[in-house]
Amino acid sequence: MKTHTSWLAGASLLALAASSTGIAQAQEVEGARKYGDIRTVTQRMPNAAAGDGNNFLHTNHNYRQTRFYPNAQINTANVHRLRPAWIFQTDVKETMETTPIVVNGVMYVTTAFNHVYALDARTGEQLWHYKHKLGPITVYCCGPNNRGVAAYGDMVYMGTLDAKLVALDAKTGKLVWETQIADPELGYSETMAPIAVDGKILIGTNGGEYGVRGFVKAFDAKTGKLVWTFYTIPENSVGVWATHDFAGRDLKRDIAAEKEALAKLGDPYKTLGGGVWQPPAVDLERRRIYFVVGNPSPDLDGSLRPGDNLYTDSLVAVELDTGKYVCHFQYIPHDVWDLDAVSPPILVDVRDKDGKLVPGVLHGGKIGHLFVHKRDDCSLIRFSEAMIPQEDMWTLPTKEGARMLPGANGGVEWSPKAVNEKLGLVYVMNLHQPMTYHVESTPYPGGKLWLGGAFKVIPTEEQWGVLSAVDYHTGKIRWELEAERPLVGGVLATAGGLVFFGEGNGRFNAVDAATGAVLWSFRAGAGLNAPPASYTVDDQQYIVVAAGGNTQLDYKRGNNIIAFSLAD
Amino acid sequence: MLMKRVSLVFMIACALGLPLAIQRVGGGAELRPPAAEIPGVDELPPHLAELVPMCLACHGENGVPNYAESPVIDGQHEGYTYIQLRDYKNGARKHEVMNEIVKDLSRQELRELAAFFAKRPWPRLEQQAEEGDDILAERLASAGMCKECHLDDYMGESTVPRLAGQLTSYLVATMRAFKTKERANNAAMSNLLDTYTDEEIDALARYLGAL
Repeated sequence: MKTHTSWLAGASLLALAASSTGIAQAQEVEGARKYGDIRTVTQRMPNAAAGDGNNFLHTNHNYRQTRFYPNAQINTANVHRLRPAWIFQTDVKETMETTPIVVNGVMYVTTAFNHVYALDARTGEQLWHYKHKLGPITVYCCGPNNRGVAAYGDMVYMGTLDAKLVALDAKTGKLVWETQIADPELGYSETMAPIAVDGKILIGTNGGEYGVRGFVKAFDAKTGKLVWTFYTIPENSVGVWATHDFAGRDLKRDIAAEKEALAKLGDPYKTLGGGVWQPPAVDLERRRIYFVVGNPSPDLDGSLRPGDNLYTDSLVAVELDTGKYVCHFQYIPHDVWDLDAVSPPILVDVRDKDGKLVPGVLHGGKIGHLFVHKRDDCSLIRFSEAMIPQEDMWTLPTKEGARMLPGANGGVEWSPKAVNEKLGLVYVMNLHQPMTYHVESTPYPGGKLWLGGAFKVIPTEEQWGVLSAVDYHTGKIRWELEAERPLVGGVLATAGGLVFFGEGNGRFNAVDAATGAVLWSFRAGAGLNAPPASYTVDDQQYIVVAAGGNTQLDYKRGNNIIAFSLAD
Repeated sequence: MLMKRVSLVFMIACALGLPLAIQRVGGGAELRPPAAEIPGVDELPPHLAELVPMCLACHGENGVPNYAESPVIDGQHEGYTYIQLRDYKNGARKHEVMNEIVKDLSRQELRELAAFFAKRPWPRLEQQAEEGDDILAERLASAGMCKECHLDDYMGESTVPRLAGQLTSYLVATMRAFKTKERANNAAMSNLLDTYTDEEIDALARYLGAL
């Protein structure tokens, strides 16, 4: 039994501290009337999630993060009959990036500012509501988002803006334990959904805009005790002084000046950023996890952080059981544009350069390419055609502002991708938002926003989005669908031959997975910028999505969870 | 002891016309109401409660600042106010009077003061924007992605301040101070505001103050 320590207790709390039931009174929980049909999530369930046509157990559906739902009841032939089955309105009208999780007919959704709701997935009726009591200090980039819970055992788990991991009783919503993951006053926060595997809860951290030292941590699911930590920034972050990117383009680095800075400043690893914004993919067979690491701090100013800045802007694999490093691939050494890696990686078999099918990893980067890796050693097999315009790469930021495309939001932002392995296609959300990159060197500000300059959207230039279907065996774009506004939110593919995605203007679409033909649309009335999910209860398949708008792109806010099913 | 020294500094500052006396914006109300008459002040330890009348002398007894460059602090987010007090204490933000007032306060005491002011209601200042400010300001804010931190309706949260309805003259002063780096406790704001003209800053301030 541990005691509740509040922020008022001072910096000592900042060491990781798990606390437990004493805090329950400090939180707000409503309801919790109906829970007869909730069952424990045993390890067998997520292990088999990829083939589970009833539940949606993981924010990206399964450990391989394919976001492919294997039920075909809603399909290309009947999707025109899709209608809202129910709408649930949360208490929080702010940005929504949550993926609903569904376990045996019970749905768990989160909102901005860390509310969790349990709903009857058949009707949308509220079962309970948990409101996390946020501490007064939260420091985070890009909106008070939350991307969902992990469900495991008899509990659901959420990371919070004040950098805690909370475990709730799945039946009642009552707090069972909470753990302080890191110090929010230093710029750490949590918006990603944790994942649960083999008795551990895995979670990364935000903070690449605040000079944190990024990590992925594993906590004991039952107690909240720390099991292992992998720092995304090694103590030697220098690397190989790479002068060109993966495509052979000159990064325009001044290596001599960087070496001089290294001699003077030392290794910048303690404040080098490297957040992990999205859940790792889990390879149970290899006992490894694969995740992508975000940008270095400060974003635009490389002068204070000499070297390649390992493992920022990288795909990284570590051992599931120990957190020990296995391999990495860095996309942009010494990034000074914040064109990092955030969209969750996907594990599928891919054709290598000789046409042989090998275990692979897919990742879509802000730079606008889909990357295909060999799972064994993280090496790059191929990258796709550019999915959005790239111009004047790699123009260095200037004090007055230098234009280069893509702008700092991508390309592919945090939006999860989806795959249809039969078609060999991955569906990738992209945005085109031209910006100028401004640099000005300032020292580490101690947990405050530390961009080393500024990003500015060019108001006179057109912005738009594109959904790209990329053949990951070849890197060619099979089809693409342009959207009137930049796309952020995520994609769902289903066995019904469909791909679902939302837009900032509130439109929710179902398209033909093979051709991109739009087969169905619905206007939600607020920005639809969250990843869709699907589930089946009482032989009825539903598609569900949050319509809450988006802070980062300033899309109209809302507070709806909308479930769709086929009309009779 | 703390009170005596701070009071002395405060009085000298007023007498010398230091930042306090730039321009009165409030009415001629009593500057320093007795501590005991301030709602909620009894929740503070006595030595902090004694500081509150001094705060209100500039920031306004009813939340309406008495001076053009004093911000609204009633109802401002606790996290933001705490960070500013912390920065006054460690010198990252410079202001002769504020630096002196907080210099011997502990982290805990700064937190308590911030929490006290956060609980007070935000005042209505009834400020007006000029014609065309709204269109210009929204374009400027969109380019700078202001809402990404200050959120929808510019209400802020936690360590990010509420801008909506803040005293326009303070917004002008502090945004210009960010631009010139006279206010140096948020480099990202300095870098961003460096890309705006003074006239654009003024329009933004008028727009935000009128929200």
